[in-house]
Amino acid sequence: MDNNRFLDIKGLNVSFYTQKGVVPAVRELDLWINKGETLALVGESGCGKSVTASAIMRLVPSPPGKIESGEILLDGKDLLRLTEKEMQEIRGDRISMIFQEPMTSLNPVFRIGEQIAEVFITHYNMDKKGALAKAVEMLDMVKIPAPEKRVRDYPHQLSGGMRQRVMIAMALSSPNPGLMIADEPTTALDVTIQAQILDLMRELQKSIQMSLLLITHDMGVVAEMANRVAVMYAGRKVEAGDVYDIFENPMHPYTVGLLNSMPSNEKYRHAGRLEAIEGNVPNLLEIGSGCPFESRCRYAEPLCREKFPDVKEAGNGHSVWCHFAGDIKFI
Amino acid sequence: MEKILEVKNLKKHFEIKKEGMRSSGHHILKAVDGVSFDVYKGETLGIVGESGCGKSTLGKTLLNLQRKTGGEVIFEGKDISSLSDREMKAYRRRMQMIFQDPFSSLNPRKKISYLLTQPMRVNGLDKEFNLDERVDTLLDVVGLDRRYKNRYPHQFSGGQRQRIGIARALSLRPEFIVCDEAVSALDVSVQAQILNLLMDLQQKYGFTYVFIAHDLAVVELISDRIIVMYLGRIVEEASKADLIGNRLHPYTKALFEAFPDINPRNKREKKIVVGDVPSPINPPQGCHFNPRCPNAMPRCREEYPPLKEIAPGHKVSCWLYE
Repeated sequence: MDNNRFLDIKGLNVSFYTQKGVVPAVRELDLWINKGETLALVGESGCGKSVTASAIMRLVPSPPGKIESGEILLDGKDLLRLTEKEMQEIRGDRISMIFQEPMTSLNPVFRIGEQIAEVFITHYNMDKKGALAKAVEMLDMVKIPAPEKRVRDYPHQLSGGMRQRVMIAMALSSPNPGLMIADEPTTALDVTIQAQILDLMRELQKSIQMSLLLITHDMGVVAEMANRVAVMYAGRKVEAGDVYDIFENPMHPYTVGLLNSMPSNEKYRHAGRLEAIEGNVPNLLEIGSGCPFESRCRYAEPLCREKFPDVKEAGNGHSVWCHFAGDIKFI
Repeated sequence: MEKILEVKNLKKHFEIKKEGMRSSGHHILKAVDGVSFDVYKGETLGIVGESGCGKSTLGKTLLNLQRKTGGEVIFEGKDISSLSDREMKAYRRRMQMIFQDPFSSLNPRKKISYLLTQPMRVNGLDKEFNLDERVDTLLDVVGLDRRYKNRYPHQFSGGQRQRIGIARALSLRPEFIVCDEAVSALDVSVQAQILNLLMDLQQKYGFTYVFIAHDLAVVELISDRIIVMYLGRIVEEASKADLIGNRLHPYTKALFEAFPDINPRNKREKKIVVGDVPSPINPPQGCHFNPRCPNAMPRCREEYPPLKEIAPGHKVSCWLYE
C-alpha cells in the first residue's frame, strides 16, 4: 500500500527562531497522499498547515525558519536531500502550488499569456509562438471564455475568480503535474465563484489523476472536496482519517469542537447558541510537551498537560491523538 | 411589531474617474440603488450578498457615516439621513457600528481603559458615567478579564480585539447596532464565541441588529429576517424560515446552492451558476442578474422587476413571480 503514496511525509519538524524564542510550527508530522487523491489539511490560524506546504516546496523562509528533521518523500525521493537546483526542477514540474490571493503570485507587468507561456518555454523548451498557443489552450481548459483574447490581458484586468483560474492553468501546464498544493484557494472568492473553482479543480484532478493537498480552514470546502482529512492544531496533527469518518465519527475533542462551531452544522438549523470552543489558540512559544489543545479542552486531565498522546487507531485508517479517544462521550 | 428604522428608496452613488490620463469623464457607481425596507425593534435583520452588492455601503449609509445620494432613513420618525453632523450627534449614541477589524480603529498607543471611555468623552458623557466603573462593566459584559484594561491593543488576539470593538460600541448604550462582517476575520472556533456573545447581548439588552455578512451560514444563524442583495438592489426579503425552506429568486437559490454543505455525503452534482459578478459600474440592462440567470426571459433583459410582496413578509424582485 505504501508504494501507492505519492507524497509521504515522515516525522517533519519545522521551527522558527524568533527574538522571543523558538516557535515549534510543525511537530512530528506524518502525512501522506495517495496517487489521484485529495487530502484536506484543516486547522485554524497558527496550526502549521501553511508551513507544512512551504516545507514540501522547500520554501520555508530561512532564517528564521528551519526544517529541523524529517523526510518528505515524493514518489519515493526525499525532497529534503535534494540540492537547490534539483529542487527547482521539481517545483512547477512535479509539484505546483496555488495560493489564496493569485494577484500576489502573478506578475502585474506581464500579460497573463506570457506568464503561462513561460512554463512551456522553461519546461518544454518551446519557442514563444508555440508556447503562447499552448497558453490559449490552457486557458480554454480552465474554462476562461474567449481565451484568445484573454491571453493579452494583464492580471489587474481579470476578476478574482478568473485570476485563480489562470493560476490553476499555470499549475497544470507543467509536464508532469503530480501534486497540486492549494493553500486556501477559494477563501478570497465569492461563494458562487468558489463553487465554480472547486468544481473545476475536481474535474481537472479526475481527468489527469493528480494528487491534491488542499489546505483550508473551511470544513464545508473539506466536505465537498476531500477523500481524506488531517486536522492540525498548534503544530500537531490531532486526527486523520477518511472524510466520512472525520465528519460522522470525529473522535478528537478539537475536531468535535470545530464541527460544532460551524454555524452551518445542521443542529443549528433552527437557531440557538453555538457550542463554541472556549479560549483562544495558544501561543506556540508557551506550549509544553503535552497536548496543545489541553488548555481549551473540556475533557482534559492532568495527564494531557504532561504528555502528548500516542496514536490510537479506530480502523479504516482513522487515527486520533488523544489520551481519551474512544472513552469520551460527546454530547 | 414596532419599527425602529424605515429605509425608503435609499441611494448611494459614487463618481468614479474614468481610466486613462486624458479622460475627464466620470462613471457613476450605483453602490446602493433604491433600497427600501423596515427594521423592527429587537430583531436581527441579516443582509447577505457577494462582493460589490452594496451591503457595506448600505450599512454605512444607514448610520449616516456616508452621505446618501437620495432617499430617506427614518429613525423613530425622523429622517436622520438629512441631518447635519452636529444634529446627528444626538443619534450617534443610540446607533453604533461593529466592524470587521476593530484593530485598525484602535489607537495602538492607548490603553484599553482609555479606548473604551473615548466614546463617552467625545460625547460629553464623562460626567454622566463613572468611567472607571463603566470600563469594568463593559469588560465583564463582553467576557474579558478586568485586568486587561491596562493593556494595549496589540496584546490581544483577534477574538479578544473583536470583544473590545463590541465593548466600545456598547459603551454609549446604543439601541441599534450595525455589524459589518463582524466575525469574518475570525477563526471558526472564535467566531462561534463572538456570535454567541452577540446573541446573548441582544437577549439581555434588547438590541436591534442589522447584521451584514457574506457568510450565509452565519447570517442564517443569527438573523430573524434576511435581505439578499445583488448589485446595489434587494432581490429578496424573507423570514429566516422562508429563506431556508422557500427561496424564490434564482439568485438566492444559486447563492445557497453554492454554499458548501458540511455533510460529505451531499457531494451532489450542483447546479452552479455561471459567470462572474458583473461590475457595479456598468450593471447589465434589465434585471442585473439576467446574464447569469438560468430562468432568464426576454423581459428580464429589458425591464428591472419591482420588489413585490408575494406572501406576507416575503418579497421578491423577479419577473417569474409576476
